[in-house]
Amino acid sequence: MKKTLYLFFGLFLFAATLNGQVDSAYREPTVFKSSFILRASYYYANFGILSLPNMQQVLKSGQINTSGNFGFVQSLPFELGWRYQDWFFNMNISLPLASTYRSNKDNFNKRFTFGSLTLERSVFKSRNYRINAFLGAGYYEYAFSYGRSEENRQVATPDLFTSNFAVSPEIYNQGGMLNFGVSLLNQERKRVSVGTCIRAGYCLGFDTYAWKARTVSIVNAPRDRLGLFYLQALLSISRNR
Amino acid sequence: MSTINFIVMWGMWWLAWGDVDEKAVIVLYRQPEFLASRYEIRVNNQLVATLETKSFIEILVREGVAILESSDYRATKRVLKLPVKAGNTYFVKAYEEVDFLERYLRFQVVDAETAKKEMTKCKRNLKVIQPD
Repeated sequence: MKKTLYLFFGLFLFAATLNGQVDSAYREPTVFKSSFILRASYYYANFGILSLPNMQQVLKSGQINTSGNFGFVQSLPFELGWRYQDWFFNMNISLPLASTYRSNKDNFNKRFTFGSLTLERSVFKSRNYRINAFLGAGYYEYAFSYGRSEENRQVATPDLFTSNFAVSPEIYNQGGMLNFGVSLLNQERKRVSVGTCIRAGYCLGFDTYAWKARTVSIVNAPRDRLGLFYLQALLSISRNR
Repeated sequence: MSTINFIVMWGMWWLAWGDVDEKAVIVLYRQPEFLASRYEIRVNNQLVATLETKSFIEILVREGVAILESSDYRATKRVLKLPVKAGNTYFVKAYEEVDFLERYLRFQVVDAETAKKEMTKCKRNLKVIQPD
């Protein structure tokens, strides 16, 4: 008799909890304590506006027309991250993608790469999103070369690698930088979760760094301090616990 | 003039709410949500309103099982079947869930006390009758 009563009471409670809640019943969001995150992006989904003013001035005074192309950089970011509650630790690298700008048949070739370690903290959380602020340090390299058009010149094949051409050596500026900004991310929903991350950041060189060339020594090389504003849209996959 | 106004208003009220006692009231509300979309709400397959965040709607429905459905052009449809009795008021809280390539509105039946506390920030009030 007692068992029957317990069974009846149990069934009643079960039925009561089901009453009125079908299919779209509200659930408390699953909160995962930690995550292991991989992020990557697509070439066109990220870009940066860069400032290295002294070299830009040198190019301008040499009447080298880059039409603002000097400062527009694109790269391919990859990121490995780990989250514990509201703290994130990320290692990211933006791989260089060579790009060429042609002006009056002259070629301006450039590539930009940077990598950094960042610490991120959630400053705002809702059921579906997080806004994080991050601060980190890293290393950058900006390299370019400029080749003037010599389309009427004729060169024999054996002389291709022994003749002198109107191409500058590749010169570069590299150094340490501070990386800070904000990111907007999705909250993790499942044990293995796919999400997006939109990030706006600023990189500031620790110091002014001299421009160098790999094949020659530059006398009185200009020095520049990096200033880079960037936007990234990343796709992430995370393993959550 | 004022008498005519009163008669017209009373007539409209009677037409609209005259059979309130035979109906149940569902109060559907959404609290403030970050970057959330608005959803179309259908009751028993009839469009009744668009529900935004920080707002609530009151829906008068016939006794029986009310089928609440939320939809948005980029969201998955979700349904809540709620058995209702005439003369009773039911509070339903709605909240958007966002996952990768999927978003939808969840429903939760809550008690009146909780609902009234949570609805303090809800400003808009729309009253609709379930269409016949």
